[in-house]
Amino acid sequence: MTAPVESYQIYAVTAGILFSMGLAGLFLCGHFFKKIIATKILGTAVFLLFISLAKRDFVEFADPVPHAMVITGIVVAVSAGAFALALARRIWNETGRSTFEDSQ
Amino acid sequence: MNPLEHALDTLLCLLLLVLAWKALRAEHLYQSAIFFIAFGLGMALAWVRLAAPDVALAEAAIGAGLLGVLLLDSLRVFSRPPNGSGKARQNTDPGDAETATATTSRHPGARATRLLATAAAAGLAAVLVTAIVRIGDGGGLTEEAAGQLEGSGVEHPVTAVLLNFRGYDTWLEVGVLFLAMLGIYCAGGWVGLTGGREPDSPGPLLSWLIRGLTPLLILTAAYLLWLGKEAPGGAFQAGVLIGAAGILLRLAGYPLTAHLSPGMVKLGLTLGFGTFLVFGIAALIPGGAFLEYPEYWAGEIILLVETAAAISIGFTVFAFFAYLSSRDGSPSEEHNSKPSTTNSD
Amino acid sequence: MNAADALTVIFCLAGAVFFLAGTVGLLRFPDIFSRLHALTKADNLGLGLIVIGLIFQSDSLAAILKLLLIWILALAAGSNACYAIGRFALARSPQDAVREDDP
Repeated sequence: MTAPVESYQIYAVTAGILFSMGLAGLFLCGHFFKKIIATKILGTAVFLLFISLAKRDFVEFADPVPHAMVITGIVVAVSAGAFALALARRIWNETGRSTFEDSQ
Repeated sequence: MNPLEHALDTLLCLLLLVLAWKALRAEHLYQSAIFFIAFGLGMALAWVRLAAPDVALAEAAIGAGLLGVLLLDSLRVFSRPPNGSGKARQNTDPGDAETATATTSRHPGARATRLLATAAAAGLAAVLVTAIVRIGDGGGLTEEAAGQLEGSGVEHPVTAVLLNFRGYDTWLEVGVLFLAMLGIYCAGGWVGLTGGREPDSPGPLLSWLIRGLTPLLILTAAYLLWLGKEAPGGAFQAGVLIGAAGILLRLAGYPLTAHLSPGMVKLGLTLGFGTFLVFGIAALIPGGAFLEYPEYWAGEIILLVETAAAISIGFTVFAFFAYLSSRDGSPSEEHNSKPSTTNSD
Repeated sequence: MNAADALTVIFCLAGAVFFLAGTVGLLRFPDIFSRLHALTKADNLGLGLIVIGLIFQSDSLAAILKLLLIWILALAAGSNACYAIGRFALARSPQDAVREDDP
């Protein structure tokens, strides 16, 4: 790299790797519980990219618009995660299944 | 750039990657949940490093704290045989349910599929990283936000964006929270907030801590709410603290919501959404846009809306936990064990 | 570097040493109870030392009080978590809790 690496770039690159990890986990993990965690990691990666880019033109404070949107996003992601957990628990309680795989 | 800070950032990023990897690859669901909570706390550190203390507060309180509680609470369910034991066909051994990878490896082509998916993910990572490195500078909204800060009624830019510039985001977010709560209620609950399982006895030390901590939590919530005007803090962080106080009280066996009438609970759940709506529509009357606060009153309106939103978020967060854990207390428990306490909501 | 900065460095380094010791104890000790012992004792003291170190850097009484409050809350939460884990381990299986790694 020709230009010196800024600290936000480290986090942005991490976000890219985390995103792929979360996506792979979403497909490869069997249990609902782990799929939910994978989704959360995936979402967090997007937030991380967003916030690290917000630091690019840091003057007095970082760009507040992505910050506000990410705070909103975290709350929405947790709501969705909680709903997913409720569905997974209901499926487990009703059918005894914890994956999308067909049994036998 | 300070090389020491660089080293810290790199170390933190590596830690995050390892924690995420372990959370996805851990053998037991319990380990997975613990690694994920640690990942959330690591993310909170990363937010601080990226000059986003508001996001750090939200992540620590909501992302790691609340979701961690919900995940750990769900483990209790997944680690024992399902409730509807007549319909249960498989996985009655709790150990079997925890090996998430075992299910896919049964198929003959599973190994090839896994390799292919891993390779595809690695390729995606490479593409993403190259794309991210090439993102140039500029294009942000920092200057616009700073220029408009004067008339927003608050001094803290993030609060100004959340409650004034993009108020509809926050309004609909409170709506999403409410919707998720209704979804959880339908999927797992059907028991009013006043019903549900009897919590275990927490022991003298824990109940002492909880009794001492609850007033402090409420005080801290009010402090964060007030602080949001000029510094990191605000409705979400405050609301989650209120919800956390409720969850702690419930865990300790103090049936908090038993003292509230169903109408009060409903009011608490919808107060934030309603207040946003009232002020949003009121802004239309003098000819403004929806949620466009008059400059003179903006600070007061924001504080009022934030307070209502915080109360609603607190109730909703508590309802998440209560509805999730209300249905499945013990395996022998009937689904609607307490018709007498099942109120009308 | 003035005296306050020097004190901060000394106290924070001492705190870091305690954190390191606690982590090593968590990894190396054989059973749940001694691990808890290593973790909570060392971390509480480590956090306390770091808080003392940071007090020398704070410029207002409010900041100092907030730092102290954080320490007290972490102490209370840590000891309670320790108690809860220990109680759970003891209730689940006393033998396992005491000698987990014994062959």
